[in-house]
Amino acid sequence: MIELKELTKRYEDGVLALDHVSYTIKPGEIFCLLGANGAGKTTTVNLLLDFIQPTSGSGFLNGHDCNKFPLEAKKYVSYVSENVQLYGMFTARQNLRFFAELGGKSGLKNQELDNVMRSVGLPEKALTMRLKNYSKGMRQKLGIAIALIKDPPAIIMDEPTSGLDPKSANEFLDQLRKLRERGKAILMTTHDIFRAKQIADRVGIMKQGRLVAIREKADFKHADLEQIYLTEMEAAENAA
Amino acid sequence: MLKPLQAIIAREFLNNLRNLRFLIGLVLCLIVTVACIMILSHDYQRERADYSLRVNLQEEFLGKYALEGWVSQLIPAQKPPERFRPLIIGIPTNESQDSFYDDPLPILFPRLDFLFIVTIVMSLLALLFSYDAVTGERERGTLRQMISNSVSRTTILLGKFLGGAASLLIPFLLALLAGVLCIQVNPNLQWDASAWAELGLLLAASVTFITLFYLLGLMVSTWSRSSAVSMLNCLFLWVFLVLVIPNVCPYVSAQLRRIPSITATARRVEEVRRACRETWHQRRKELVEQFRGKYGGLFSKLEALDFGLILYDDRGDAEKVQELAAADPQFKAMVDDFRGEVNRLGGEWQQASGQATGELWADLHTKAAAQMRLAKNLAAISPLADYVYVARDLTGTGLRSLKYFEEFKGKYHRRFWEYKAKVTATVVAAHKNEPSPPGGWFLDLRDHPRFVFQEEPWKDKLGEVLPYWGILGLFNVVFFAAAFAGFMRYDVR
Amino acid sequence: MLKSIISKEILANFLSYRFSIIAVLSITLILVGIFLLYRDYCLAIENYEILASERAAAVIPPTPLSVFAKGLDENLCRAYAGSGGQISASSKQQSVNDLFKLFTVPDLLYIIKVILSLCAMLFAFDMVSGEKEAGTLRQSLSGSLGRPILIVGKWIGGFTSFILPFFIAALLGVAFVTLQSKVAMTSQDWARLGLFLLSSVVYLAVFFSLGLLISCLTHESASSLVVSLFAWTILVFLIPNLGNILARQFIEIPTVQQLELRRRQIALRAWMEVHRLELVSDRNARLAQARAEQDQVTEDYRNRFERLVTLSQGITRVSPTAAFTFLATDLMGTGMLEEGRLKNAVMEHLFASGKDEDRGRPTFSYSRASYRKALVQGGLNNLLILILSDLLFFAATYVAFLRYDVR
Repeated sequence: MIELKELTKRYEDGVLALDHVSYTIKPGEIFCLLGANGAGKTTTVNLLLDFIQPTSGSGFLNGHDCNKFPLEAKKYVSYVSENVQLYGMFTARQNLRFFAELGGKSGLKNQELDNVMRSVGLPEKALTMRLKNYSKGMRQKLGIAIALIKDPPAIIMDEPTSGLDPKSANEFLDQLRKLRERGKAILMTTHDIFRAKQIADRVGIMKQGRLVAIREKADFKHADLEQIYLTEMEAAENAA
Repeated sequence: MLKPLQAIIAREFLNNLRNLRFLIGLVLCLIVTVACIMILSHDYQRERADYSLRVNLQEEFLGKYALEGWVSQLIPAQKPPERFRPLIIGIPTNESQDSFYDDPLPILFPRLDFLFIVTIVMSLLALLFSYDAVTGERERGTLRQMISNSVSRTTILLGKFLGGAASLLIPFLLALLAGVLCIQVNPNLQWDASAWAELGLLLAASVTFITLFYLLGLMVSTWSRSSAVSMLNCLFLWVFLVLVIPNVCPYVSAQLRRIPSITATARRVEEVRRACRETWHQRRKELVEQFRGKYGGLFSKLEALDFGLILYDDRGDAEKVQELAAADPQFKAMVDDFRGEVNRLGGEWQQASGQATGELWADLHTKAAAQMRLAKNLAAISPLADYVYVARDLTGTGLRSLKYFEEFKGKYHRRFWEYKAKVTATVVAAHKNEPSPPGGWFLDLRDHPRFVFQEEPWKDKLGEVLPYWGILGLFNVVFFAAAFAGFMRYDVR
Repeated sequence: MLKSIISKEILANFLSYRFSIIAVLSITLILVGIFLLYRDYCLAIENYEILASERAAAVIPPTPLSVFAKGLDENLCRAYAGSGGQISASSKQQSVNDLFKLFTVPDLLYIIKVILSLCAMLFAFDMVSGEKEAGTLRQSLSGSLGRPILIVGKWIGGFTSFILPFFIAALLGVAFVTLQSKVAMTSQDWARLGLFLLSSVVYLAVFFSLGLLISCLTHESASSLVVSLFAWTILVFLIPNLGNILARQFIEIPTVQQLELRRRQIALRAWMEVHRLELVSDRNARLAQARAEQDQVTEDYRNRFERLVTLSQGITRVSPTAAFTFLATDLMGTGMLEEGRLKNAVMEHLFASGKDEDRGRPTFSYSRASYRKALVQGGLNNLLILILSDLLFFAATYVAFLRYDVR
């Protein structure tokens, strides 16, 4: 479970990047966080992963405070970044093994690693290929493999479909569905309203650090999510 | 914590091994070290041969030309080439530098040896390996990936240091191994247990120095946002610590602690000596007047014979004086009295002159020693200077060994003079009633004590270098602490 | 268009962190180095005045140019005295502080040949590969800009911005030195200094071009950096120093200790035998024989030494640093050329005059080789090597850039 309670971040230059945001993501739920650049989506991710400290409020991963007990909390989360770079001189298998060990899974056999990579859709020849020869789509899949191998209850993804071609993006969403079926709580930040509509169980709409709206799947399954997004943004603008 | 630490160490290690910098570092180290050691080993053999030749020349000369008056110029005490010469070129003695026929090329082009490999090549390589240890990972995004796991920053930093330093030490150790093998296969170069102990200590000191620079790069990386800036800062610091501070410090110390010029001191010494000599001549004249007054005609006989070599070294009929002394006991008593007074005056003059000039030189040397101490301590800010002191003094190729050689030589000279005095006494007694020939009697010095130089025990050397080694260790600790502080607050985004 | 590129390069460099660091480093080091060496020169002048007033010895004054390139000046300014066929040299002032033996003199020559050459490479190593990584290279070439113009513009703009701090610092340093009352520069000295600064610029251009070449041969600035540092280490340290050691493997010369020992023993043997001879003519003949033996030993040594120097120069010249060191020290009158000339002049003065003791001899008079002589006797060759290296590296850069993959 991922939980935010009045999470706030004001930077040293005075910018209020996150303004008393609260919500909870349950196991087996995909929560998409939508918003423009600078809305606070990546700040949310950075706070949950203890890359920065909150000004006030708290984030929780599986009930553990992210900032007071970060090492404990991070046992229960995996992270997939926007641009999965990893170590170019190592093969996919070697990268996967390394991050598995960091995630507490050491002594894994090659077969186990390969199975995970196959399960995310990586072709056979890619398993022993060096990362510097991977395409962006393949790297994103490997990012998911890293998330899978740790098998945590929560997964945080920061704009994971950015720059992917439609086929790769679809394959990526299929993987997300499998993760949801396994009961993972998934927080995904994105600009891609189209994909968000396809995959999200709930969406949160952020503007200038505030969570202006949360919509359930029922609200946008048969509606135009983009129109809902724009309406909410305008309403927030008027309210300010 | 141990498993993630092991994983990070292994990853850092392997990542470096696959990098172009590792390959280049390895090739550079191997080629330079092996080439250097082979050439220096050859040089060592030549110097050894030269040394043996000089020793033989001296022995041969001593056997044929050991006249009593000339022996002081023949005392054998040649400095053998240092046993670590195949690795480290020693410091030239003042004797060779002050010769008209000196070789000035090394002033323009300092010679290449193991110290160069460590202080220039390995320190640069260390910075190359570590300048982007943190910034590079941040730029790639892998730092975020690592920290998003349950791994503390301390573990990450420690893993980076241990893995990185281990990969860096491989080219160095391989190169050193290759070099030592070259030395071992040479039958003319045989090291004993103490030499191996010194090599081990040298290796440990070198590792301390190299890890220092690795930590410097790591520290700069944790305080920089980009690899480009980190690299510039690293090289800037390297230039100051390695190329600037050590070279500037002797000149700064020469300004802060001025010493009299050697030329000015030599001139004052000459003036003092001249004054003493004039006084001595004056007192000899007075002595002659005194004896003239006291002995009258008897003294005139001695004067007519130009004082029979008593007053002057180069004139006087000593044989005639001896004949007269043998015939006339009164004459003999006067001659003995006169000789005694002349020798006493001579002794007084020598003592006074020696004391005055000695004080002048001692003053110069005391001030020079103070200047040197200041220069040494100032330069100790630079890790390069500390390492050079440690490495040179441990291997007997530094300033300490020059001083030790002079003391060892001094002790040998004293033994030689004692021996020579015994032989001289025997010969003089055998030729009691004969005047000594020009240059003195020939002395048979065939069984004189031989000069066999023994290296200072490594334990004594170790005591001397520990403070500077300690400074290197302290640098390691400070840089790691600063890297730690920087990394704890490092923005990984 | 060339003008735009040059202006852009200069402006971009001036605004860069790299420029600030290198400018601070150059100016600080050059001024500190010149100041320290000037004080050292003052001490050398004091020593010379004492020695010259004695008239007994052969001694020359230190050159004010030693403040910029000390070279062998400490050796050259020793006092030489001769008697009984032996030439003695006075001790160098630095010989009382052994720490001078451990480290190198931080004069302007050293700063240029070691530190500024590194800075030149650091300036240029990512001028192309860095722009490729940033994507601006593609942007620049996406218009109607030809590659030749771009690379020439980069070279001119980059080198101009790099050399500016050096010029400022060198000018300030020269102004400081020449305004001192103890320094009297002749027109020859000014000519030498001008040529030295000019050859320094050519030397630094070599490394700048090399850095740019490496940038055009690699596609990542990290790789460019590694290769640049590798090349710098080899050219600045390895080749000049290893070359000297290598030359000694081919030409065996005895150590100075052996030479001095042999000479001393020849003299002693002669003196001892002379005392056993009755006739003055026999004694003179024996002494003359000893002198001849000593001269033979010395001549053999000096011949070998000259061959060593020639071979050493030949081998090490492959490196621009060695060529520059020989050129600079010879131009400033503190190099091997001067060393050889002075020693020959001293020997002639002390022995060819027919007087054996210092008292009877005329005053020693000597002037350092003119800059023309320095150029003619190897200086021009060294300068040519630098210019050719420059042209070669630039030509290679040009060709490499025309084929460079900008994607």
